[in-house]
Amino acid sequence: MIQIFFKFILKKVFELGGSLLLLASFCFLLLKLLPGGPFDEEVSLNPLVKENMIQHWGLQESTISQLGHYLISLLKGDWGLSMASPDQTVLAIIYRGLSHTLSLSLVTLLFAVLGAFGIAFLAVFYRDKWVEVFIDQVLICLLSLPSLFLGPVLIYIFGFYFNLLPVAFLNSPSHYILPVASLGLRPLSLLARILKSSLLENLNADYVRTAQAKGVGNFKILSRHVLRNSMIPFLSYSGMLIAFLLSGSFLVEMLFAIPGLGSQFITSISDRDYTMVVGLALFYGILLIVMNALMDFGITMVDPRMREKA
Amino acid sequence: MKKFFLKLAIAFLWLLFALIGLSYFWLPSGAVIQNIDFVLMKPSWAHIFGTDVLGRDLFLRVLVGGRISLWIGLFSALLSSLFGFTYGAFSGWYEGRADKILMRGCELFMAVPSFVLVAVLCLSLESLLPFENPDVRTFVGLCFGISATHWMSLARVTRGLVLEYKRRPFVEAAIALGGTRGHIVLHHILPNIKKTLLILVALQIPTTILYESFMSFVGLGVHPPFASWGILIRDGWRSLSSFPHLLLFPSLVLFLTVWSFHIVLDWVGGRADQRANQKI
Repeated sequence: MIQIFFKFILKKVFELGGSLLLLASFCFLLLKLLPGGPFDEEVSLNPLVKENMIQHWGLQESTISQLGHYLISLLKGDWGLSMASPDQTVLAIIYRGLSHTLSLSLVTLLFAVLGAFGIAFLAVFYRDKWVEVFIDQVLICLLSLPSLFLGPVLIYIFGFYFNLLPVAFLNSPSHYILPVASLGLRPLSLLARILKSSLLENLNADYVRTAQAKGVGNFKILSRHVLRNSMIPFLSYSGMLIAFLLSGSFLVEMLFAIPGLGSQFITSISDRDYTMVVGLALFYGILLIVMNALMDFGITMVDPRMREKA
Repeated sequence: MKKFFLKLAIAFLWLLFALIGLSYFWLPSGAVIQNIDFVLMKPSWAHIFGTDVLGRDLFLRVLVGGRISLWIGLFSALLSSLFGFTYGAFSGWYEGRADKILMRGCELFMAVPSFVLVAVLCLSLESLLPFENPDVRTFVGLCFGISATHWMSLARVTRGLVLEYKRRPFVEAAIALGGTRGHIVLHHILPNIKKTLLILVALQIPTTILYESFMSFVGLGVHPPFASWGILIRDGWRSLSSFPHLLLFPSLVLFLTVWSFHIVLDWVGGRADQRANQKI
């Protein structure tokens, strides 16, 4: 099992290392198209100082040679210094914000997956009754609740009106409730809908009837047969879900004043902090690719047909 | 209950579109003119959503903002679908190596969080586009930026469908009769997969509307003198604790729009499924 896993990772690393370099150069070139530079601040610098800064960062060279230098240093494992705060490396800044973003995303993922399981099972258990119709409608409602709506409204209701929960930072477990709810309810409803439809589909399959005829217990049918088959669309969607969570966390970090990577990205892009923005984009790319590889691995574990293919 | 919600959703969409359409022909001056006597009023019969910091009627502002939000939503959905369809059809038709490379490209786009790409694309397009009017530049930049990150799922579905239909006898017959590739894809395959694709295209609309609001809220979308739902929500967010109506009404309208789209599309999708089942 471990061997399969390592083979998988190695293959992915080689396949996607190239893509990541492509991604880095794409972002770099796009950023160069933006008007303004990292040293055009509101308080204008002494032209001599500015000239020196530009010389120091090598910004007077042609874009292509700058890109070349950047990619070469990237290959050496050097992500460079942040242009806006040159006393820190890009990696150090990422490391500082990472714990917040990652813990928020993981808690939300856990919440969405567990909630989706509960709701989908409930709906399947009471299928063709009013409970299912009710759950369907609630799920559609949740699906159209963006964090842009949910975040501010939750903050107002629970933070200001009832004054129950803290509305900023991530210091204690109770701080997690509002951000996780506003980030996670939409993924939860998406996952629950996918899981529910695939569960219903599989419950009517022939093999369930066969198992029942053999006298297998209901619980065993559900856990061994139905669930295993229903997990495949669920898992393949979860990979995309992580991308969704990381994108969504930009907004939630802004709303709840969480000093994570998302807020860092927004400030860096308005500062034209080239190295920082490209570094963050690259980091997100790596994170997503690793997560997707893990999901693929999960699918191969669940589905023996895929294992043979791999 | 399902029927009731469906009716509600359709009624809301009609009302929204009618009011926004009407606002192009006749708009009371309260939407633009700032009036210091009416600053930050609570909702009342004269101003059903209340008034904003500059004394403008919030209800009219929401309508004016809806124009931009809906146009950007529609345009980006169309643009992304057009691109996704072309990409997917290409990749499905030419299979083999070209297909592999194209699908890798698709994966690459999926591997970047969409916000990173949209932010960088929007800002750089804004500075590159040759239009004189900065508002038009923002509009077009946003449309392109948003559609650049929403075409992948459509491309994948189109590719799968084209691959499937390519093997059908009628396509082989068309090839044997000497039909060109473009002709076969557009006139023989497209009519068959039209319905599935249309639902996917329509599903893009609520997503793109949300994305536009998100971008404007973060401050990378439409700029303030201009109104869009994102901008209105951003304004409301700043004064949340003392004037919650400024945030509540625009975001409620945004939610209701997205919800109505979802309800209607769910119904249409269900009906399409039923019809497909009956045919079989």
